[in-house]
This record gives sequence, C-alpha cells and structure tokens, in this order.
Amino acid sequence: MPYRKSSVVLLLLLVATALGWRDAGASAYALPELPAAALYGNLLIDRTATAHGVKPVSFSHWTHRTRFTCRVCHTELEFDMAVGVTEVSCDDIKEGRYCGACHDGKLAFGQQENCVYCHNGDLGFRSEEFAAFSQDLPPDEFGNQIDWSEMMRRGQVQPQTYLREPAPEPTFDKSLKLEAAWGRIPPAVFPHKEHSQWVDCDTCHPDLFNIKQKTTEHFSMSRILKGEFCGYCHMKVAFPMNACERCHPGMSR
Amino acid sequence: MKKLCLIMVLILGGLLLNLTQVNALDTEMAEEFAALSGLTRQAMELSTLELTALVERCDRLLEKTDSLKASERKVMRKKIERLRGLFLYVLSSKSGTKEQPSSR
Repeated sequence: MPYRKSSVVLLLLLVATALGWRDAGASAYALPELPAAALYGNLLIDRTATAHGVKPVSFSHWTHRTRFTCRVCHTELEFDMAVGVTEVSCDDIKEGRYCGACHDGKLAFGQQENCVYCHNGDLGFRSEEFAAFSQDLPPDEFGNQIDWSEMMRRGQVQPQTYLREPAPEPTFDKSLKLEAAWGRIPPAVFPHKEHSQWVDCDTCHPDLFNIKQKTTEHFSMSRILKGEFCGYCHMKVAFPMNACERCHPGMSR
Repeated sequence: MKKLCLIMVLILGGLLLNLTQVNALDTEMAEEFAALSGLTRQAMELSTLELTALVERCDRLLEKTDSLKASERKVMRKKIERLRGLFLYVLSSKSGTKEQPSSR
C-alpha cells in the first residue's frame, strides 16, 4: 500500500513542521543571556563617581519595587529611565532631592553615615539577601524569577504610588489584542491595568507608543529586543522577553 | 561700624529671602508637576476642554523651568514635555485632529 505509506509520511512531516513552527517564535530571535535572578534589574551608576575617586553607585530595583511603584522614582523624583542621564549629586541628595527624598536617615538609611551602602561598585551588593526576600513570593521562570504582577494581584505587596501628591487611580484598563506578524504565532495581549499600576500613561504615550499616528505594524520582536517599545522596560527590569507566553498567552513554553 | 553691620544684615537678609523664594518656587513647581503627572492616569476620562487646560498648565510650568539650574531644568523640561505630549496625544485622539508640535 504505497499510497497509505506516503500519506503517513506526509502526515508526520506536516505534524513535525507544525510543531517546529510553533516553537520558531522563541528560537528565531537571539534572546540575550540573562543575569542571575538576584542581579536582574541591578545597575551601576557611574556618571561622575569614578572621576571623583569614589566607587560607582549600585542600585537594585528588587529592593525598591516592593515599596514603591516605578512612577515614584521615574516620575516624581525625576529619575530618567536611562542610567546616568539624571545628574544626581551628593548636594542634591542632601537637599532631599532624588534618592534624598527617602534616604534621609529616617525613612531609609541616610547618605552621610552610609556612603558604602551606595558607593560600593558592586553590582551584586546585598544579593545574599535575595533568596530570603524572594522565597515566599510567586515564582516566575525568568528575570528576578518573581512574578511581580501576581504578587500585586495577591496583595502580597502594596507599593506606594506617590510621595508628595496623591496620584488618582488609573481609570483606563482596556486590554489590547495585537496580532502577530507571523501567522502561527498567537496574538500578544496587552493589559493596560497591569502596567498603569506601576507607571503613568506618559511613560509610554506618545513617545514609545504612538499607535494613532504610527499604527502597530512596526512593533517587531527584533526592535523590541533592541530596547524599543516594550523592550524599554521588558529587557531591563520588568520580566524579560524570554517569557514568550506572558505576552503571547497562546504560545507554549 | 554700626553702618557696616546694618549693610551686612541687609545683604544676609536679601540672600536668605532670595533662597526662600527659589525654594518656594521649587516646591510650587514640584507640587504642580506631581498634580499634572497624577492626572495622566485619568486622561482618557477627561473632556477636550479639560485636556486643553492641562496642556496650558504644562506650558506655564515649562516657562517656570527657566529659573532652575541647568541640570534640573534639563530633566524637568523633558518630564513636562512628556506630560504635555500625553495630554495632546489623548486630545488628538478625542478630537480627531493631528498633534501639534511642542510649543517650546
């Protein structure tokens, strides 16, 4: 029965191709290697430190984001999202600006008595505390290996949204479905609410996402992986792109 | 001697007054900025009139940044421009018009 045999072979080939295609989305892109969970989102800030003979400042997002949403530092306290752009000086901090808004010796450790707490040049500073910090938090596979969204949903943490002026609750919570360019890749789902609990609308609109004028056609994975669009946060602090199914819920791991 | 003391007191007083004014302006700016940035979270619910008023508030705040020192001005202007951009963006999507370029 040559006809039946060839049909089986053809069927097997089709199944194999379909399975291969299904995983092609993840494997087609060169996803960057991720640091250890305790180091994900950590920064060394060396705008002028080394030039002034002191060690660069280490900053870990995970030690801060259980207490404050992104908007507190990146909107209210004027920290640019790009490292080293905001010109923070020790005098500014003494005057209560930038880090000094909290690091005043009362709310958080002060600047003068604990220079080495920040100026240590150690990207992994306090990482030995990470295991204890993360053990009861909802796990994730990538990034800090903490599912920060789930943690918020469960109410395990309630980070403060503002320091000075109470910020109203976000009112726009529409979820968007974005069709993928590749036919076999299921659409990406974008929930506004998950994002607006951390950042203000102007963090993304209209600079990063100007859908009205530019549409969504150019939201390619290759551009996102270069730090554009979602990659502005999702390769640095928010969960990384390796977690395909977080944005494309129909995709298998 | 008395005259010299009086002049010194006046100079010191003037300096202190100047410093207080700068700090007051700074605080006022920070409060207005915080209020405006908080309103971005409700921008989609606001009317075109309210959004237009917010764009004007951003413009007024931008003018005040001239009094800041260079490094602060750079960051503050960028942030206010972003707020202004958001309000304009929502305004344009509501009114169906094209966004206008930055006023500054």
